[in-house]
Amino acid sequence: MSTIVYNIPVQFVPAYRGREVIVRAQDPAELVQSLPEGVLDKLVGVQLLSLTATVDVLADWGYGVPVELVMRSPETEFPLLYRHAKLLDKHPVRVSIPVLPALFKAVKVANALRFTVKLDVGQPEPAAIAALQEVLDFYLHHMAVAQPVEFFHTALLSFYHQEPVTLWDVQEEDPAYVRYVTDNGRETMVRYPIGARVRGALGPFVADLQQALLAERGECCACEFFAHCGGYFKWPRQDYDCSGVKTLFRTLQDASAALRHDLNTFTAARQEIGR
Amino acid sequence: MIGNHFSLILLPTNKCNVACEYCFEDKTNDFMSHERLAIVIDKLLDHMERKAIASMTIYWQGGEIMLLPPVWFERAHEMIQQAAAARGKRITHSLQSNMIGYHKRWNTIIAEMFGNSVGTSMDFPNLYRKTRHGTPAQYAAVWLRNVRAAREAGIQVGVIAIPNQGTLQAGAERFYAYFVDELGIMDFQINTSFSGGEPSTAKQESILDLDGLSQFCVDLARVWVECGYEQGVRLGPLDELMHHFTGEGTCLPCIWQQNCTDEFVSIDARGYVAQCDCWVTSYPDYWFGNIFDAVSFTELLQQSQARQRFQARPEVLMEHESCVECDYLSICHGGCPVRTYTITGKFFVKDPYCQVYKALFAILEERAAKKAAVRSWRVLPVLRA
Repeated sequence: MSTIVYNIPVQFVPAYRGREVIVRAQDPAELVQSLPEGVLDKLVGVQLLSLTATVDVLADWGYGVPVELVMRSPETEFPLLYRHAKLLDKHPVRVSIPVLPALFKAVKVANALRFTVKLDVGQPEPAAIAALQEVLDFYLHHMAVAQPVEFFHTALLSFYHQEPVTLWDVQEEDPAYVRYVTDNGRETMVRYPIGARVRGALGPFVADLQQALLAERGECCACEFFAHCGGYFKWPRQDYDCSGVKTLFRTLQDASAALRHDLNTFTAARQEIGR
Repeated sequence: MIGNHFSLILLPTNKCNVACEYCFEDKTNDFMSHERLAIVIDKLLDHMERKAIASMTIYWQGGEIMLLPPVWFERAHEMIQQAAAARGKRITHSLQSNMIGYHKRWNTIIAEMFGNSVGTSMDFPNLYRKTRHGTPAQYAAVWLRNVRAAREAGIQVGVIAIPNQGTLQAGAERFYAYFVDELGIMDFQINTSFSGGEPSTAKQESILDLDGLSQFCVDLARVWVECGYEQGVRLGPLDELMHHFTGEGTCLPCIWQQNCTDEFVSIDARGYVAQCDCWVTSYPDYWFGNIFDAVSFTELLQQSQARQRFQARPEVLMEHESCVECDYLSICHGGCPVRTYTITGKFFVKDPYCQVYKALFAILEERAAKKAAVRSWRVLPVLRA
């Protein structure tokens, strides 16, 4: 049985002692002060909710604690990533970037600084789909790209190895494994837009949603990418039109096929030489 | 890199024995005593402990470093290694000298302290490097004699060359042939000039036309890839760029780091701390502080407003310059602050050598792709069809 990881605000560290946690805070100093040696073995990572705070204390703290920088406004915040570059000397760093039309510069700067990227994708609007396509093209074809951009990276590998992984897993949003604890102490989904409602228990949430989506015989039922998506884009709005996101999956599928073809050709040629 | 490793450019003397016309340092007669050096090292080790930094490289230069006698270095080396060992830290050393004062009595300390390696500088043709009352030709003759003697003693000599107007006229092939074929240098690098310190005609002249310099760099890259790349000739920073574009591990020079404040600092003979040697010798307004006045080196760095300007520079460039649009952002980050400031008089603008860097990046990216294609051709006969 898999352990549940709780994304908790920093003030709940004592209450969640002994459980696997991702600890979030606005201020890096608050994180370091609240995480004594004893809780570090259950610490999955930390989330910085503000990019404007001084990070020296975190840069000097311990070794190898995964850090996620949570960006709110990629259009204006992308230069701030430079002040976090020093974190990489001691910690793996990922930037979570909301999928908004002005997304590209943030992804580009994050990549230039060797940060991995997680696109906080949700249910993207058409303008955001265009931005995602630009990022996908950059991820697939630009030679400067040296770090994963998720969810593209895992989806590409998933197509390549023909081992589907759903976006609930890639995005670390399946409440069977990851739960968000609000500042009021309530356990809920990681992605919980205002007005959205979770019906039923959190544990089987994704399985229940998938069952319902297939039962209604809607868009998911005939979708060739359902095994790679898992109904991710049908929550919270189940009437979301997936035509845009399908173009992304198709591009990834085509890229994986091209990669497989190239590698097969290469392998065959080497075997030919070896004869 | 600050993090697990720290780099220090240390100028234990601000004095020099030559009179290069385009030098960016405003010289003084100061030098650092062993007692003062011990204080510096102690504070640096305190800083390393506070920041959990395991190792440090000290880049020894001046002024002219060989104005201090070898015996001074013997004692300094022993003192530093003992202090480092007592704290469980590792300190290594690198030497940069003009080699005008080199003598065989340096050989032992160069072997023991500096890994039997020394970095020096020479241009082709030499227009601006001069001894105090001599000519560039006389300087070059002394330099060449001493470099040959050092190499005969088994010392590895690396050379930094700054292209000048004469270099552009001579062309890349002649330039390359001078260092590799005539001098037998297998490890050299090109640098771009910057007119730091007190203004002079020579400094102004040393800033080249960017179109001409770009073309020279492109031509040099072609010559080196053709004649030296696979023959073991190291030509910085072209070799590191080639490694980058062929997907190998690379160590790009400081001018292209994401933020040089994360990489190193410089301390001069008076104890002044600044970003690098040009800043510490010539720009008091950009000093971070004095290590002898500060309670701790860590606080000196943290509290320095001058250093905060350096830390902020890449952020400002991303907002106001075109760097974020550039295909080469990840290997340049807006370039070198000291070149920017000394040439443009501004701090928060991109490096004025942008055009030259892009030309160099583009040609090496293209050459790397061709090399990769050649490798594929050799491995994949199927591609010939």
